[in-house]
Amino acid sequence: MNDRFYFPRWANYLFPAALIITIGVLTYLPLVLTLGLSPTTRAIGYQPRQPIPFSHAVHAGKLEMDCRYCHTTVENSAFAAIPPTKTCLNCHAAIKSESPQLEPMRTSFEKGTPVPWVKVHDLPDFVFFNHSAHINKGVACQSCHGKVNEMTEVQQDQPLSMAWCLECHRAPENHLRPRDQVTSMNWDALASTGKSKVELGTELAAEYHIQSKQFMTSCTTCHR
Amino acid sequence: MPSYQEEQFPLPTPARLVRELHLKRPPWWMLSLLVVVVVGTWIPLVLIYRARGTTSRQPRVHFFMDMDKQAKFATQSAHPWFKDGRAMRGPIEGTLARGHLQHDPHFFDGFTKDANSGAIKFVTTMPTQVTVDERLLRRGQQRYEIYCTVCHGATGVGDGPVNQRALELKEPKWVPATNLMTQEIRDRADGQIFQAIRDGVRNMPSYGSQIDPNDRWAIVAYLRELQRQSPVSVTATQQGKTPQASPQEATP
Repeated sequence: MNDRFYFPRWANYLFPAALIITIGVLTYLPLVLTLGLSPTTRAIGYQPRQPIPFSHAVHAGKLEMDCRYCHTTVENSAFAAIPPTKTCLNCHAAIKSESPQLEPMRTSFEKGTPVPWVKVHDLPDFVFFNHSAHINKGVACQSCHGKVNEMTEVQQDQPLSMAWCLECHRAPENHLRPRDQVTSMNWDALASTGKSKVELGTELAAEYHIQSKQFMTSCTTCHR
Repeated sequence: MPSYQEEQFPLPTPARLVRELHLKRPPWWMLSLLVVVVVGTWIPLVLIYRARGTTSRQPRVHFFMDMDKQAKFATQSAHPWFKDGRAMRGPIEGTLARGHLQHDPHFFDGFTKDANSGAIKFVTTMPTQVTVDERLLRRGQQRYEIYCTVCHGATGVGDGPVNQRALELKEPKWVPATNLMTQEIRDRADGQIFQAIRDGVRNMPSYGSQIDPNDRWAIVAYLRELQRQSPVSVTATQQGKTPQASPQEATP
């Protein structure tokens, strides 16, 4: 008789408890995985340490230098080139020329070796992003890179995920600017043209011959 | 009268077992485990919240590599095989890419060289490939504001933000940017200004690698337009005052 198993009284709670725990796990796991794996969590805020503490806040912000002064290839090629050391020397041959922070720049110039800058915005190798195509169709630097003129150290500002790219490829009119304003960091559609962003964007999309949504969301537009 | 249940399945007799069967609450360790697990579920959420608000020195964690990193050399990447460490190679010495032959001295140099004496003569007109129209001037203005304004200032009087900053820092090696609105600069040949952009003058560095020939001519055209529309600047020396720094007069 005594080898029989009896459930204690509290076992009555087991069934409702199991129900609650199952529901809990089924909501919790997707929530944590979605949030944890999302590029918004993992990619935004990547701020590698650079060999020279170059401040965009000083150069592009305080000194109001245009992005293209250094990144000269952005309008003509797929890649917005990191400038050669010679571009630094344009000014730094005379300004702060003895600064210890600029030692890697001087070594690079003397020896002809590149400064080992660390790439911040790194797309997967199967994405063929073209800077010139975007810049020449009125997509601003700021749209993907954020307010670089306020960054002492560059950090990733946007997730740069495929879903994020498609958001704009599906509705480019929400993000277009006149071509001559693409490098501006404080451009405002309403203040400068008196039109709303979407209204102006729709006009510009027609003027710049932005491709159809079908083309813009086709696989081969970005992958080949 | 005892029920069927009590008859067939009487409660076990040992007192401890009876006590345990009547327990209304699970044992303490089970409850505390539940509390620990519930509290533990908040840890990943807190970590995610933190990751969203802070910067990281480490690149993103790749849970699924897919083909994100492929065995190929991207633009401006490093290559271990070459002495200079660059994956991108320049053209082989003595070769030229299609369309890169600079055979027209008027357009590409801004001066002509006498074959016999080697004397240099700056051109005074725009090359035939360039037509001065509104489009060119607008392009020139845009290029001027990218590359020249930093030192020469938007109005060309030499008060660009970089120049002002250098003076503020009292940099001993800095030569103040030339005022482009003086009569002296106005009298310079178009070709001389073109050549100055390409090769630099005194302390001004060469911009040949940053500005292509078409844009250099556009800048020259815009500068001429700017000079036409602004009053002639009188330099400090002409006014009888001492110049701020080293003399402005020199030949390129």
